[in-house]
Amino acid sequence: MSFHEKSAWIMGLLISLTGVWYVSRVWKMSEALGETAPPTLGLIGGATIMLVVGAIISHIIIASLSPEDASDAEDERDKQVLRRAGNISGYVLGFGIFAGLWHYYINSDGNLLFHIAVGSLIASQIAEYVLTILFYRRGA
Amino acid sequence: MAKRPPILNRVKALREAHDGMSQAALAKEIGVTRQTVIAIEQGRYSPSLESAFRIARVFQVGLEDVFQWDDTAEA
Repeated sequence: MSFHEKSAWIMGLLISLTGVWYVSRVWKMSEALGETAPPTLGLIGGATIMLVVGAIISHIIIASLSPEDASDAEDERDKQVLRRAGNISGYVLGFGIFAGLWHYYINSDGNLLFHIAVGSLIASQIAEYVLTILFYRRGA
Repeated sequence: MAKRPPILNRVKALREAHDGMSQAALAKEIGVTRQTVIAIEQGRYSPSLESAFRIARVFQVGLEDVFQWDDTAEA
């Protein structure tokens, strides 16, 4: 398994966990308030810190387990896989933002627009990592 | 599901005939990772034209001695 594939597995898992944490927090806060919870610095900061710290620690671990793979530069196959996965995940992000904007146009709920945008970003990243793994395994 | 490229190759056979050259050594010669050589040998990835020529040059054979079009895959 290449370093990029290992990285995709770890980042996919990390961002999924972060997404679940973010959605559950927003859900609980919204239930308590009786309306869509506003975005808070603690929520966004918490999610970002979880992701960054998790990514740094996990990448140090996988790099130390296979230092030769980690030092390999991206080759033509890596570039093709990452480009295709990034391209398709862009559609996921675009669809989510588009849906969020329409939702805002109809309901004028700016807080929900914010959470839909964050959710779309998370969903597109998950899609990118899943597709990266799929393309590495089955061919791009 | 991604479709396999309709291209057959003899990279593994040529590598083994070339004093049992390792996948890592071939990868280094053509400037790709070992995982890419594995993917080429397994038919999961078609290399760029440049890499295909580099592989043929390593084994000192023609391009069509390494890669062949798979007519059966077109059906």
